[in-house]
Amino acid sequence: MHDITTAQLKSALLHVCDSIIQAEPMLTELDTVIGDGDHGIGMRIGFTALHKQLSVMTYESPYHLLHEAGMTLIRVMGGTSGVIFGTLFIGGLSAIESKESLTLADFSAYISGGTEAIQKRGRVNRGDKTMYDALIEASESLKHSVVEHLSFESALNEAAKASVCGMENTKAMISRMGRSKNFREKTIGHPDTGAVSVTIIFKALAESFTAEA
Amino acid sequence: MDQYLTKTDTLTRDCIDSLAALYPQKYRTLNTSHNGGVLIRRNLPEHKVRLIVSSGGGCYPLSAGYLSKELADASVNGNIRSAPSAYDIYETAKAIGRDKGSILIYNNFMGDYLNNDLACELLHLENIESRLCPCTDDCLSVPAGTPRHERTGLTGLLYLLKIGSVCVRKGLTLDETHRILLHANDRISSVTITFDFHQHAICLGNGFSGEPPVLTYPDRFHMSQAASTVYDLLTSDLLPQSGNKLSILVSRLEQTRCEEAYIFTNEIRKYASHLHQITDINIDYYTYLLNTHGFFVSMLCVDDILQPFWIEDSPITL
Repeated sequence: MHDITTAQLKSALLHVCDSIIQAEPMLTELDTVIGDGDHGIGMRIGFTALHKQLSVMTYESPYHLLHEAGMTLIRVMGGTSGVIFGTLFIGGLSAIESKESLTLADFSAYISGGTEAIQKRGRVNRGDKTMYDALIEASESLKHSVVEHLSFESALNEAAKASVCGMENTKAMISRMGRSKNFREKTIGHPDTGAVSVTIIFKALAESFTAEA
Repeated sequence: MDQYLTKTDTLTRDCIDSLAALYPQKYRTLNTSHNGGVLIRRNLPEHKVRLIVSSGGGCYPLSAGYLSKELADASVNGNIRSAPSAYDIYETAKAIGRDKGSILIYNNFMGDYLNNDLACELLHLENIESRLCPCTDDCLSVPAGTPRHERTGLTGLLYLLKIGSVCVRKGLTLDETHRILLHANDRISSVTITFDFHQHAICLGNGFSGEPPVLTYPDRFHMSQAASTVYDLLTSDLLPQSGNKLSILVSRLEQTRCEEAYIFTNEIRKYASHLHQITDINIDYYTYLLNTHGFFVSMLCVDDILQPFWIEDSPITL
């Protein structure tokens, strides 16, 4: 697969929604240990609304699809996750403006833009034990895959693996952001819940495009 | 684990709808709110700066119970323990703050900051003025020496609303009100104190959502010891100068009886009487912390700048 179309992207996003919704109990349990327990519920509410919207709407381009996805999450979710995961969808839109389909380079630039926007808005860096730790690994992996001329499906599988590495790395970190920072050293050994959600998103994208190939 | 009689996904919306239906002469909802968590005071005076308070849901009276002439004009509430969406804050400010602008007041948790910050940006795109006013009064929410702006917020939020409403009634501009509120925020300190019956200990610094305490004193279970410990902590944080007056606010937690709140607060008064000038004392059930025996205690240091905006004989009541 060289380019992905709006329809393929929409189908992949629906699979992302299903995966996040199914993961709610696990995300809630993780967030209850070192947070305030709202992450899984917020993600389920946001991605349920997104699923509902995607199921009935048609979009003329990847830009419109992803813009609407991001705005829906921001509008519906609230909490830290609403702004952060909404920003993941809209932060890199300038990289795909006026594109009818996306090459791997386009998609990588889009994810990279979203990653940078999250870093800026959330004032986060690597090592803060946030979703950024998983996302930056996925983003860097995609950039590497562009240079290596990997196929879309291979690149997304690599990005999914990289996000898991980033998420696993958060287990050794002490939380410095959000509610979980109050648990200090007790956060060691637990993954950041937002980072777990990032791995679910990239795994679902990889599954979707692998099935398409 | 929290237990609810109602659907948790719609708890906030249902509560806001209920309040508006029960007290239609006082409140209205906002039909442009996507999540239904917005409550607005009726009969707002024209040509005034608006005070919009926001918070997660499930902690009433925080913040839907903070609407009055002496406190906030509108309250934006998220789902349980989750900050409201930026869009609901934006829509609220659009609805009531087009004329003189709005101050967005919130406790400085990450989700509240992110959503208010984004709302401010969205409002700016439409040339609607707004200013952020995070409450950063929880003195044990960060390690000692950490910059104050990194603290989270507790019940000191009520002091900001009370002072802000006086600024608004006096006709101050958006920027003048904002400047006074930022000044006030630097002069508020708060802490959570809980009583551990198993260890016979007092604990300081519990978070809103069950975050563990920061300090534990196994040997100070008596009310007078608890009062002096809290008082010393807050005054050492605020460092009141000669001529400053102190206001005390005590919010009892869920399992604490009113009687205990009066006894505890009187212990603070007795301890303080030889140390500083106390301007006023406020006691109520200002917010919610599940299954906990204890208090949120806030202190405001009223200096020369705040004095014109501080009304001593009007306790904060909900």
